[in-house]
Amino acid sequence: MCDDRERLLGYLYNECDDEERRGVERHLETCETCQEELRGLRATRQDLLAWDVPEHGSVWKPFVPAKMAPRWRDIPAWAMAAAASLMFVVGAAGGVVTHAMFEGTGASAGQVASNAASTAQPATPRVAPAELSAMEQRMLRDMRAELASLQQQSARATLPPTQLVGMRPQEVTDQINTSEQRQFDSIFTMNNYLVKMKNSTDARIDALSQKVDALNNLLNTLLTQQQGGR
Amino acid sequence: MTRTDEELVARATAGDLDSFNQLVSRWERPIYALAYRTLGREEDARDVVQEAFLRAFRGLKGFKGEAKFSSWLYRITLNLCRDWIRRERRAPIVQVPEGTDPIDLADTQAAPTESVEELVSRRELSSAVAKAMAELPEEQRTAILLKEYHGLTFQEIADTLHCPLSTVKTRLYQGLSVLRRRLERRQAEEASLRRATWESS
Repeated sequence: MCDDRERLLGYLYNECDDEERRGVERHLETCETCQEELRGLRATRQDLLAWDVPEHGSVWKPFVPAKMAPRWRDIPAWAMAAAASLMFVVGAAGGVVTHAMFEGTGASAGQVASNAASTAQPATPRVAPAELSAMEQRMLRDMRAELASLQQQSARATLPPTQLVGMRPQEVTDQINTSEQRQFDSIFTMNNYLVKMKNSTDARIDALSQKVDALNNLLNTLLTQQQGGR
Repeated sequence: MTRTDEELVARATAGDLDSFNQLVSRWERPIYALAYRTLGREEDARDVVQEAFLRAFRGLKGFKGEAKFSSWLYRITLNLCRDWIRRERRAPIVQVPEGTDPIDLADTQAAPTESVEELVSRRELSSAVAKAMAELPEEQRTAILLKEYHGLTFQEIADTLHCPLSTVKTRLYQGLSVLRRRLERRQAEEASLRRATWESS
């Protein structure tokens, strides 16, 4: 025992089992050397407690989470595509309206009539602002209705997160693929609709232009008749 | 609800910064105490503490949980202290006051039952212990720091220092024995000085 410092240390720090403890205590009863050793180690441990650490303020600056900007990934792809298409169509319609209204000299009806006498060229067809505004309104109404329909479809297609718990990985993959396919179909349908809308808009503009042409020709004819009658 | 270190580590690894802040709050004082007693300077200890937690944060994903979080943190701190000492090319310096100024003691809050003499004696003993610890070999000093001031078991110290259990016990015993001799010698010298002062007066 006198040479077994590890056992004495285990006893000193109370890190020994009951059998070891009893063995050390039996030895200490008869060994003054180990008794003195144990006394000295205990006194040293007591002295060590006197070593203070000065008070200090906190060193660490706590992390503060940064404010999250909206993540574009959280916005469904179909919504982004629809918004982009809407902006395109509204911009295109506005461009058509502007082009139709302000192309050419912008001359008044009298000037057109006098110019018509000297030139066989018909004036650039004009479309009344009120009629074009009504057309725009119809387009926007139709598009809003289509968007609402697509949103309803998407909401039905969305699987609440809680339903994903408990599904096997392959089932989750299948759900994701089905959802992505639905989204793609929605975008494709939307795209087809927008093309149809554009064609319809073009057709309407053509029809209006022909009406304007017919009216201009009639006006020219009346003016010519008046001048010929003088 | 008080979360365990393991729970906070898991949440911090998942991105919950507040959980890491809680870990720091819990362990900053012990880590500072370890760094201070190893390096002997408050500013150095503060720098090491800052760096230790930064490294812990960066290394969280690699912390596998095989050892206790505290053991892992202690190891980071001890490695930083070792690097600090080597870089500075000096042994740890202990802030030992030249003498104890009674006026300085006026601002010191003594324990309710502590006399001025006892307070002086305690501060002198604190300095003596710090000096004696600084003179120990690094391995013995580290083993005693972890055992006496941080309450680690023999096995936890072995895990932290990556050495066998018997090595931990050997270092502890040798370190304590050296400290015992030095502190007993100091007490004997002080007793002799007091006797000489009393006899001369």
